[in-house]
Amino acid sequence: MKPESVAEETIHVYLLRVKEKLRDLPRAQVAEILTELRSHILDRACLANAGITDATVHQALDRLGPPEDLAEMYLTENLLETAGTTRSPWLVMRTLFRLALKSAWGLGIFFVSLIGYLAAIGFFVCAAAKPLYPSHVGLWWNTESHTLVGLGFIWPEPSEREVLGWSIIPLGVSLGCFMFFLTTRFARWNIRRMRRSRGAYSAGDGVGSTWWSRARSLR
Amino acid sequence: MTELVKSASRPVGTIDTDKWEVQFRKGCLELAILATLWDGKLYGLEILRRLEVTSNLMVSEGTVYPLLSRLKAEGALDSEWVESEAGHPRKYYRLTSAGRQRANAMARMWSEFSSNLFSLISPLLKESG
Repeated sequence: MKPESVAEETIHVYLLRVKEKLRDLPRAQVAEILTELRSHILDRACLANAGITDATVHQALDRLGPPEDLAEMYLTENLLETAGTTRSPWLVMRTLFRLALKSAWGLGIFFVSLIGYLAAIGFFVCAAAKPLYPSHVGLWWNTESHTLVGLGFIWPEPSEREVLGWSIIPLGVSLGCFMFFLTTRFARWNIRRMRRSRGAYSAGDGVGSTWWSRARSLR
Repeated sequence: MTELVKSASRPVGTIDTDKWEVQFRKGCLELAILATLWDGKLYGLEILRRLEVTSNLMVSEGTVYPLLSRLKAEGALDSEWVESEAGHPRKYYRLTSAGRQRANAMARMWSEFSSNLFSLISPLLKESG
């Protein structure tokens, strides 16, 4: 095999490892990232007197760092950018999960948002299940002790009085929408806040905020 | 406990200042990148070489590209692909008007900050010199 072919193969393998980690990003964006990295590797290898060989390509790749770390930095920066404005709870939670792995604050936001979304799902499920299991879905109240016996889907059916009746359907849908909206707003606000305060370097090494982003967040 | 023993055996100040220097250099990188693009468009490797030559900012090359990507997403930079004589396309970056404003504001803030800090640390420098 020619030296150029070996070098090409080395670049290909490196970029493939980057690509595998970037599968959450849009294809066009991944293609642009890979083209730019390939161009950089070739340019960096060309700077060496020996030209593009397997050794000079390896030196260029060493300067870029491990492909997984590089992809992780791209991913976090891009997900933070997109998730700060998206309405997709899947994308929001995926981004928060990444942030949860990097800081205690991120972990807290992740769990609060998870509880919020689960509550929203719970309200929707109650509304959807009422027509199917009318006697098992509702809000049961003990009129003697004035205590809540249960809310939601309960099996077996409690002996206490169910107070909501069919109104649990519009109520469940309304509360589900409200919780969904509130949680998304809360999560997005925190993502934008963390994006501002973490700066560009948090993705790879957990280093704190830049002086610029700190100054902006203090304004 | 082991970590405690390890940290106790380190030369005083060496590790802490090393970490501080890494964070400090990285903290300057965004401004440095915007500054390299002040006079016109450059592609990634040109930005890196300019950083190395003019500012001695030895940064990980893998840190710069995701940062360029973020600055572009934030609207501070614009980019275009240009075919090169080397046979492969290069992605050139240039400052947008928002990017120029941002770079300008950051440079002023940096200048003010460093001059204030210098008056504070100048007694330290006299003593060590």
